[in-house]
Amino acid sequence: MDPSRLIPYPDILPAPWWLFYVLLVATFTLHLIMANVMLGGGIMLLAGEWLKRGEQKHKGERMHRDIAPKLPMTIALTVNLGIPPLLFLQVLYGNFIYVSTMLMAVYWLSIFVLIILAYYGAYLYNMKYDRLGGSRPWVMVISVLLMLAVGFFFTNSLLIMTDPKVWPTYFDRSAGTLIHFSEPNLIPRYLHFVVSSVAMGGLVMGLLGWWKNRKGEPDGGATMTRGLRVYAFATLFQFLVGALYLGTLPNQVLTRAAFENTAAMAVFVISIATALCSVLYGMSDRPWHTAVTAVATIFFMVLFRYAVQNAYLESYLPAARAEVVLQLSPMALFIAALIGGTAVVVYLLKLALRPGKESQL
Amino acid sequence: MNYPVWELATFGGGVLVAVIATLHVFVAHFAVGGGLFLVITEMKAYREKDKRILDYVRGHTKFFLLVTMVFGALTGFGIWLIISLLSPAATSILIHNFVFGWATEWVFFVVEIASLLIYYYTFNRMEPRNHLIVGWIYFIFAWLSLFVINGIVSFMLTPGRWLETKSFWDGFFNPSFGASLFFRTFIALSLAGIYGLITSTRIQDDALRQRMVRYCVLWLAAPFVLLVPSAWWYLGVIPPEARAVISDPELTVDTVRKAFLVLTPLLFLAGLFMTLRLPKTFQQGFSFVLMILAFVYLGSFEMVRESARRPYIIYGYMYSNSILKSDLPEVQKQGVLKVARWAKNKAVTPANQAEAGEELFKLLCISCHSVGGYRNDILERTGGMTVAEFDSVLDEMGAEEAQMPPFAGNRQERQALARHVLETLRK
Repeated sequence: MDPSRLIPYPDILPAPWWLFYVLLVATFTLHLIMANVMLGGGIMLLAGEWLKRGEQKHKGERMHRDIAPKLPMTIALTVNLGIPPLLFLQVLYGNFIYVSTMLMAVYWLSIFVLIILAYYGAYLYNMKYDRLGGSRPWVMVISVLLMLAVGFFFTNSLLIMTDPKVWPTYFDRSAGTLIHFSEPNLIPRYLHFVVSSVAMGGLVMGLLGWWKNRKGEPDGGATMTRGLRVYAFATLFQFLVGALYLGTLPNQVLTRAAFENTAAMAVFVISIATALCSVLYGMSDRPWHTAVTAVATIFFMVLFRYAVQNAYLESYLPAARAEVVLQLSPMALFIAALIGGTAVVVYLLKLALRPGKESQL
Repeated sequence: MNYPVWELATFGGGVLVAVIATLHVFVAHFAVGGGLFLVITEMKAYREKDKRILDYVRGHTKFFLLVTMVFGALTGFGIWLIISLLSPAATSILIHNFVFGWATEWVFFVVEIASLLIYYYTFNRMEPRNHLIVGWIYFIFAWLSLFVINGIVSFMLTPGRWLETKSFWDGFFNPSFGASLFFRTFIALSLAGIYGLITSTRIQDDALRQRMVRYCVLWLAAPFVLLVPSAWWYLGVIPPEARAVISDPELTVDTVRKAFLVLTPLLFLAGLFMTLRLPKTFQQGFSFVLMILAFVYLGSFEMVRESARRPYIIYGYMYSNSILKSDLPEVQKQGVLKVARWAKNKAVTPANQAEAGEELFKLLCISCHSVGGYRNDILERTGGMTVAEFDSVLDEMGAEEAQMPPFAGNRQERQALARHVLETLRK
């Protein structure tokens, strides 16, 4: 069956395609960074539990003290920052993503339940740390496994979305349980995300160490170095995973995305350069340089990722591109809300950081 | 006719939507009203110079945070997931028409998260005046979120002038926008009192507990003064055909509507009952009874509202089975299978009768009917029918059977569907 026959017609866009594309790339980058920090934070806590078993008990305790109280907040922010990219993805590629999620409906629907459980697990781990006793590591193991499952389902849906060739399997199995194992790219793509999370978990630990060092806490420097080493080694390992990712892309996709698209190739080369810089900065204990180059790497990788996605969909997109009927006033509403909302958040943060007197009651 | 259909025959997708959506709205409305409850109660503590009330607000904030920010936010995400699986075409319309509305709501949600976390973590560490400002900011943005979502949800029942203009603003400020906003605001305030009872009945000090319980009952009961007229207003602005559907004694929704009407005074009176001086354990238990009553109350409202839309998913524009009203004559002429992108068989033939019938059931019926499940069970609805009787029901769809869309297929498709339902499913 010709899969292009199955692609639903798109709905009308109220603003130009490129605008949603910019919003998608920008918000997806932020979401991905936060998702990496969240999963990486969970993995660091598990590493801390491991350290506590041996002779490095104090190191493990410190990792817990540093990270555990912040994990629920990073989950909240990951979920929150996940909303705009999913929204803009549905605006631009709705006729692809609705089909792909339908083909894996059972897993897709489970995502919100898995996040709720992971979230409460993270709260439980932090708030009832002492009372949990021996079951404590298991609470975090479960939370991390749930996060890993959510990440895998997202990877799966985004891959099915870009590969309409697999869509006709629906006619044999419409229960919504498709995992796209027939695409060799699935596992490397997912591993790319997981390894990136370990790196970002290390980076956040490095930054926390830097902050503690600045406040004069004795173990700050050691925490910083340890975190940055985790970042650097994970990122070096990422080069292997990345090569596997590229190697398992279908030939025509790789050719189209990398060799025939100069802009995409340039973005890719820049991302490799920033990644190498971040590793060098990480190895030389410069946390902020590492952070800036790491964020730049993720941003350029996201850009390249969308070039790959468009290469996958190349033969399908022209027929499935939406008509644009401009309605600019709702966009003005959004921009006004964004400016106003940002101002209010800045004001809130100023209030929160201002040393205040507590109530006299 | 544009998307595949998720095979959920036995369970029925409607049940999943109802469960997730009711759980969400029950918490999401609390997230709005409860925000006002927090600041007003904190002000009460300062005004009465009572540290115990302040301690109560702090404890209630933790409960509020864990319920609204985790469960409330993620069940909202869950609704998005389930509707995009069950009605992708309608979801796509909502997303594309209101993309900047959703994006604006997301900004408000960011401010909500930031203000609530700061409100919680700076309790007793911030000047009271500033702390109250943070609380007010939370409430204002939570209500603004409701304002935006309300525009989109009410659009589905009364799209109004949008049907002609396709303008964002016509869809957003639709005929039921105001009534729905008022109704939901008062529900939110009343729920703040009900959730408040869950925590206030746990206060150890007897005198303080009684005071706070009565205070929460005031929150529960007072909004009813305006909630009832706004419900009346709401009923007045929905299309007369929708009013007829929800009052049809042959439909389940009529029972649900009656339950809603009975629960309105019941919830109010049960709330007043809590003002009596009662033992702590009884109060604690009864606060959960009130919670369940309120859950059923809000659930019945949402179910009536959803049912009022029948046979549409977007009133006057798209039928429940995702066929556009404007496309119907063409679909009827050409046949469902030919028009549907995700149909394997493009026409009914003697060789594919059974398979085509199954596909037609998926495309036309499964969005509302379960097979042996809880909601609109097709086996129960067609119990004892002959093929001829079932065929006449299909014929009356959209007319006598006003809650169902007109049958969209041709003669052969109708027969194949009837045989599938009566001969295959009912076997």
